[in-house]
Amino acid sequence: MTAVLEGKLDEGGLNQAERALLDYVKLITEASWQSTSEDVQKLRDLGWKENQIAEAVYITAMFAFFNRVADAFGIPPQNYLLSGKLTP
Amino acid sequence: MREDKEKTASMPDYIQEISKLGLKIKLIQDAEATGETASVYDEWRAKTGRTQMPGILKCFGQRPDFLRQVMQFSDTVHFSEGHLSRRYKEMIASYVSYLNRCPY
Amino acid sequence: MRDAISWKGPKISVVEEADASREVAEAYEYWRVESGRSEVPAILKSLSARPDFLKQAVDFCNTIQFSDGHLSRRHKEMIGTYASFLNHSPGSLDAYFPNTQGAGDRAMAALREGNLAGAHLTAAEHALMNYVELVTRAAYRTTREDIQKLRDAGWREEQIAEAVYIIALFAMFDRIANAFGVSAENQVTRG
Repeated sequence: MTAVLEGKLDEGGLNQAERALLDYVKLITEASWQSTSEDVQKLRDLGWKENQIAEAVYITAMFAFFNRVADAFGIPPQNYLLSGKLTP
Repeated sequence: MREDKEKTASMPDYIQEISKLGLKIKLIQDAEATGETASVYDEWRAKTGRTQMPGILKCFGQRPDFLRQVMQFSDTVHFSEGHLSRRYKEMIASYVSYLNRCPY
Repeated sequence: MRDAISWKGPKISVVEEADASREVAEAYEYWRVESGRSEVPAILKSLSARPDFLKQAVDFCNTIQFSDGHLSRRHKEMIGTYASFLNHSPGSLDAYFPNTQGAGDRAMAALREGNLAGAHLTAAEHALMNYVELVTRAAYRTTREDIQKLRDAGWREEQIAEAVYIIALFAMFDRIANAFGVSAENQVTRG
């Protein structure tokens, strides 16, 4: 997990499906408008279910939201979710 | 100049850079919170049993009504029973947070 | 030809009304009651894999975007329109909510195309749009000087904070819209 946090995907011990999911996450983070049906099909072919792909998009998008708020204010980056649920 | 070598040695460089910049937009801290903002902060403390509210939540102090909703939807997407395991969600969250601090 | 709007086709499946489970159908109905409209926008359908999140999205969008706050609704719409252009998802706001400022709003039309000069903004609005671009593209690189420029232009701290919430909101929704292929560009009006 630390390797992923530092962007070192090759050292993360990821299988092919997991690696493809993170490549897709990168695409949605950096150039979402360039994503294609083929990109999504590749994930399905590697075993990801439609609802899982959708949820991966929601999380990716949600962190586009949180990271921008934190960085605009100047809060040091942290894994917000290591601190646990935000509501009881 | 790295003063706190032990604490920061394992942090990626970009985290150290951002930490040096300090706060840019004013946060509503606990001592300054009034009205509904104070209520939401108090509610959070009462319900979680914790005293230190995460900085990211205080960012939303200017709109306490939105803050309540932010806490709810982030729990829904990340913590509630969904389609991806917690492990995969955290993997995605970590990687996206890294990417958003890189020039691209 | 029954439908005025056709899609290039969503890249990720969305749940249509006819196929909706009870949970999804309830979430869609929640939208209809809240909005007073019958057609569920495609961007909301793209949240159908998590109908609990879908309902929350309806609520928090009403709270922060579709109402006056520290910023006027008009300024929020300007921020959202320009951010969506920057996120390569132009018109995503229109897709969710029909142009609330009037069809003849040339400022919004210009911002939709990223044309700041053509929007005839005040100096303060221009400074705000510049900040929208900074936070959209690389929020981590914004500086205290960038914030001071906004204050010098007359924006209050709570308005700057709210602008950040809106910019971040569109960073989220535009990515979802683009990933699913439900942005306005993907919806072609026939005839």
